[in-house]
Amino acid sequence: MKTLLNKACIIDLNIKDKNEAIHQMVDVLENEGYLISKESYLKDVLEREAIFATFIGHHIGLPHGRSDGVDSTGLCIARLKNEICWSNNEDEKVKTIIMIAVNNDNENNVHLQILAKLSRMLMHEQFRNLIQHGDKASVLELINTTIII
Amino acid sequence: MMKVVGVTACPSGVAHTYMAAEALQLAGQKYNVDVKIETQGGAGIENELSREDIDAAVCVILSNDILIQNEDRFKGKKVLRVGVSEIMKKSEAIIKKIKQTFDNE
Repeated sequence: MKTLLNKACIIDLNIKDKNEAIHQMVDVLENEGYLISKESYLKDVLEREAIFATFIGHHIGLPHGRSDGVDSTGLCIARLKNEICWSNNEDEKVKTIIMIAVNNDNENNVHLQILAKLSRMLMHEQFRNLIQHGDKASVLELINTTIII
Repeated sequence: MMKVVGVTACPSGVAHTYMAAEALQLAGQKYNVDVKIETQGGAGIENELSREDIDAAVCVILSNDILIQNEDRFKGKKVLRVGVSEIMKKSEAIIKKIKQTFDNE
């Protein structure tokens, strides 16, 4: 099983809008071998965003989608140079984006449990602070030591 | 201790289901309310509510983004329906309000 997060998937981004951010992050996940079909995953992420934007408060966006385009469950974390709007609601500004790629295979219940744990951890301030402001090595260690079952 | 139960679910069942549940539990700790939340997410039903849980609760919080399974369990209970995003943003306000409302009954 591939690790949930590798160092190349923690990136600093200087972009103008959400669409650009999502495209670049999908590229990263593809380059790191997490995807079977970039097009299919991108489509599923955008469709999920369209249902309702994945703003979770605290200047964090959490785009995700279960998709046949995903090979192995993975994360991409982007820390933005400048805040961007995440939805039509002007209050929903994002500075950190955590993209989750999950495949559609029902047998991969373990992966969904890992993501459930990550989602729960994001509600804790200390965890969020490290993801948003910690150095890459610390973020990597945090994710790979706390998000296990 | 006052008890509140709830069920959360969301369209892809990957993240918001669990974030909303955790946010309500943290708010419960803060306001000294016993909060138990069942999650109906991608990993199936977890932390399932028992009949005793439901009977002991002053009210039920249900997310309303997608259909909740076995909703008839809550017949006769006071039910609060809120979207998962709203729950995450306002979990503390929701629990605080419930506490104030039912403390006075």
